[in-house]
Amino acid sequence: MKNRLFSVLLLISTILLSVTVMAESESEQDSVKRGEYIFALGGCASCHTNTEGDGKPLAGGLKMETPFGVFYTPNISSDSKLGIGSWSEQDFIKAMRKGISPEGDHYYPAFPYTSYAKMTDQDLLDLKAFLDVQPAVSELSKEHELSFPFNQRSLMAIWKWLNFDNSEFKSNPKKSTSWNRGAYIVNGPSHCVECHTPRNLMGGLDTDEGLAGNEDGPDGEAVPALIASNNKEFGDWDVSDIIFSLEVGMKPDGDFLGGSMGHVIENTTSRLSEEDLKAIAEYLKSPEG
Amino acid sequence: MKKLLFYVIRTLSVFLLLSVTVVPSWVYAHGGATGVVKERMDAMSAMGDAMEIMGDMVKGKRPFESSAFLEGAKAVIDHSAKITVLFPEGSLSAKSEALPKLWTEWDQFVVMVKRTEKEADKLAALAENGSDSRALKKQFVKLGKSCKSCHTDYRKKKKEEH
Repeated sequence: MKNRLFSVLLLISTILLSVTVMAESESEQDSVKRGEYIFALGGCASCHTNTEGDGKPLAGGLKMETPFGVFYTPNISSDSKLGIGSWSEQDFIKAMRKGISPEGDHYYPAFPYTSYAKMTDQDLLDLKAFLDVQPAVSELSKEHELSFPFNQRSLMAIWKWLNFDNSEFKSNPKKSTSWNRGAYIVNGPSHCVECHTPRNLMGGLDTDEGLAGNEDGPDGEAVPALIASNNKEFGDWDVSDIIFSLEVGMKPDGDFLGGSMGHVIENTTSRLSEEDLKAIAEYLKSPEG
Repeated sequence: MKKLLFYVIRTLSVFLLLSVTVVPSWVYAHGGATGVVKERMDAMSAMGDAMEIMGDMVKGKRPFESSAFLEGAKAVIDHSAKITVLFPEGSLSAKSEALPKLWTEWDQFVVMVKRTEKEADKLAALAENGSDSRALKKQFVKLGKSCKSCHTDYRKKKKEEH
């Protein structure tokens, strides 16, 4: 009798245990799935996969020429030695939000932690869950080629002090949920402001001129303003025009967006939900708070 | 006589002034481009016009007409079938927005143009078969994405002069 009771108890506990394990792996899968969407939202592949140089996914190596020197994007694959596979959740959040490596070094703002600082814990952890299950690529990240004084990473502390607003995203209670979602996407994960806002002499974002365009954008491209007062053409676009251009790349006049924005459309905006595209459009129609 | 001359001069100058200020913007759109560069820019514009009309219908800004999709798709087919000829090797000018790597990756470029032509073919076929607006919209988006991929890789917009 005692034996029987024991077996029943054992059976029940086994079932309970397997149910918990299943539930856990299910929630992990949910996290990976959400992380895949955050990965698209951030357009991580645009810079960390060197498509033109036939680089392996997330192995970095994309060359970025800037007035301060040449940057090469690093390997963010799940390789535990040469990628970021061994990072803890805390390491990852600190890198994304504070621009500090697990070793305590400052990152250069070519890595737009200046925007990622606005991202929620949940989004960052989901993103990490997705990155953790991507293939490991055992390739060494290339060293940046920067001239003095820009090659002194420690000086970035001063730069951050002057140029880095690491406050978290604050929603505006006077605006709709959708507008706030758009504001979060544009200023946070999708980091639109990094190219569409002019920069000061130190390369920091000129936040008084948010989304006012940048004559000297990446790759020598002029990046248009996204506010009506600085860009009449864009000011005339309605919500449906903005959504369609983000989805397909076609402007209302039948012309096409290309260059860097072409990659953004491919890796980010064409992969977003209709709801998020609407949110972005709603925010861009009236970005002032 | 003097009065008449004055009148003629005045009329002429008013006319001149008007023609300078009221000249439609398209005259300047490809301002300065000549020869084959102008030809391909004009071909691109013609395709853009067709895409604009269809795009307006897709967005619900214009009443939906499948005949417009047939016409528009045909315009894209006609121009894209001839477009590679308008990119002879090294044909760059100050006005051209083509990137030089177009010629180092010529085969890839041709593949992309062919894909655009094929997507436009499909759109024309759908419009001819009287497919519904949903099917046409879906195919139009595919065509648009094909146009975009080429523009992403091989075109760099020149800074506009004001």
